[in-house]
Parts: sequence; structure tokens; C-alpha cells
Amino acid sequence: MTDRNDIEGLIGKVALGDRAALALLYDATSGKLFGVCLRVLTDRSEAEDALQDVYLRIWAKADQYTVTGHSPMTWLITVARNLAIDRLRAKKKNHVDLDSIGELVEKRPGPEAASIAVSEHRRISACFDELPPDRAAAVRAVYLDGATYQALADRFDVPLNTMRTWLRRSLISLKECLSR
Amino acid sequence: MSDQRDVQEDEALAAEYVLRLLDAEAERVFELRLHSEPDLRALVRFWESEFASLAADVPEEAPSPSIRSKLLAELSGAETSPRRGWAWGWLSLSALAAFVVAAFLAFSPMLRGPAFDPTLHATLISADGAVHIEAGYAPNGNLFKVIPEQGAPAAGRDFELWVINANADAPVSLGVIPADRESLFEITPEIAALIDGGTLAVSDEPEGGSPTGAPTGAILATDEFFDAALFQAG
Repeated sequence: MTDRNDIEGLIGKVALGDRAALALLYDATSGKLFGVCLRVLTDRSEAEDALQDVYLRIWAKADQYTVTGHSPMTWLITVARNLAIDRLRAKKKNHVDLDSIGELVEKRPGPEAASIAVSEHRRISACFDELPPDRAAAVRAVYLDGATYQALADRFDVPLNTMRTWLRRSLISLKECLSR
Repeated sequence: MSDQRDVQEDEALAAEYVLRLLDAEAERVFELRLHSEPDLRALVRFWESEFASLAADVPEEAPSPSIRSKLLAELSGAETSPRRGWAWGWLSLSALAAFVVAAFLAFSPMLRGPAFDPTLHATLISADGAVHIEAGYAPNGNLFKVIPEQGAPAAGRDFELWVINANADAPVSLGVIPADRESLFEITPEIAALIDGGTLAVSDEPEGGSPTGAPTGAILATDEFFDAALFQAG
């Protein structure tokens, strides 16, 4: 099992150009990062291309990891998610698979593998529980599936501006809850 | 600017930025603000970290084993590709002022760190020589590095970089740059596409950058991006 310090140490070595360290980092984290890419892109081969880009990006930017102030997994997940979103946006402008959002709205998250930042996760889960369920689902769909305002407005059958106001209000409530 | 409404506005805006919900223009304006507003950077960090914990819900998946080998092959290739020598090619370009070459050689080691391998460069030197900025672009990761060698904006002013390309209707901002230290940042694929064949320019702008999205102050220097590989020996 690779813990936070191990991953941080590996990122430090990658920053110095250590390829073996990148291979170890890949072995320790590619399952999670591939999961993130696959969730956004839904297509395995697209997600695999994205995953390769993710590790090239990590290779290129590892020397900047420390200035982000993030925990190692937060940084890696943020890199993976952003690259997957770039690909998704390039692939289909402002269009998201509505079925996957529909499914998400009904599905409660299952028992999660307690691999990263469990306490942080409990905190954000508790705050999501304070939101009306459809709004919590919308925020999750934006982060995990890369849904756009347009896709959400279509899904919930409301005008775009209403959707935006509604989501921004949810984000402000979320911030308030998380800062308590 | 510190009343509750503005604070909440920024909290939501930072979340939208992290979620990638802003359109290109709003994103650009937000990124300009990020340069000069530490509170906003803290909000971005806050949301990145909170949202990343949502990924705990995402099950791990095993990618095809070929991805790992392709990745490692690509990294070995990157390391053994010919890098040596290109800077020396500059010495034969007699048209260039000696101090430009000297500056270039002095800065090229920094531009070519292990994690940053630029292929396109630009050297900005103002007509009076007071401002000198080196820039390099690495397509691997769309990274852009800026080294302010000489000169600083006046009080209450900032230097802003622009990419000018026939394929873009107007100069595209790369943002305000710190004048006292080098910076390395990622640019969008859209802007990256304008660099090859494009021109880099630096303008003098109000603090925080041009309020209009187009250069408003004096253009201090411009330089066409050049391909370092063209000057490689052999």
C-alpha cells in the first residue's frame, strides 16, 4: 500500500527527472486516475489516451507540485480531471451524455474504497447531504462527468440562466457548510 | 470590495472556474485576476481540494498494460532525443546583436530544465533596451515560461504578454507576468495553436492587466516565435 508520503516522495523524484519514480507513481495511482478519466470520457480508449497525457503532464509539472499547496492525490486527481475535461470539451462542444447524468441523479454513491482523504470526503459528503438531492447530483455531475450548464439546463428542463443561478446558490451553500 | 455579497460572488466564481463552467472569456478574465489576488488563489485551492475528494466515489479501473509501456517509451524517447547543440547554432547568426546571444545562452539552461523542454522561443527587447524578456514554449503540456531579464513596469502598471497570429482576429492575452521572477504556466490548446508562426508582444497595462481584453497601453517589444530546432547542429 502506498501512502501519502510515499506518493509525495515519488512526485519529488519525478520532478528531478527520475523515470523509475514515474513508473512507480504510475503503478500506485493509475487505477484511480484512470477511473477519473473514464468517468469523464466514458470511452475506454479515449480515457487511456487521456491517462497517458496525464502522466506526461505530471512528468512535466512535478516541479510545481509543491507550490500548489495540495495533498499529492488532490493534485494528481486535479491534473487528471482537467485533462479529461479538455478532451471531453474538444470532443463534443457543450454536449454531455444525458443518460449518464440521469443515472447519476438516481444513484446514491456506493460504499467507497477508503483510499484517499477519507475525512475530507466525509466532510464534503455531509455537506452534499445538506443540499437538495437534485442539486447535489448536479454539482457532482459537473465535477465527475464534466457536465456543462447547458447539459444541466437540458437535463433539468430549466432555462440556462436559472440553472446557473441555482447551481451558484448551491455552491455558496456548499462553501458555507464546508467552512463551518 | 469586501462585503458579504462580493465574497460570496467570488466563492461561487472560483468554484465555477475549478468546475470548468466558465466560458472562455470569463475564464480568461478570472485568470488575470488570479495573478494579482491571493485570496482568489486560495479559493481555487480550496475548491480543487474539496472537489477532488469527490473522486473517492470513483472506482479504480485498470487501464490496458500497453499504456504503461507506451508512456515509459515516450519518456525514454524524450530523454534521448537530440537536445545538445541548438543554442550554439545561435553563434553563427551574425545578424543578432551579441548581447542577445549572450542573454540567450545565459537563459537557455533555465529554459531547458528537466521538466521543461521548449521548442519555440521569443526574445522581447524594447527599442531603448530597458525591457528584456525571454520566453519559451514547450508543446509537451502546453507549458509557457517567461523570464523577465530586465526592466519593470511603473508603479500601478503591469506587463502583459500577447500572442499575435494571422489566424486570430486580435492579439490574445497570455496574462500579466510577474516582472521580478520567472514564471511557468500552462496555456490553453487554443492559444498554443497560435504560437507556431505567431508573434509575442509585451504591453504596458494598468495593474491586473488590460481592462478591455485588448492591449490598451504601449507595445514595448515584439518578436516572432522561432523554432530552436532549426538551429540545431546536424
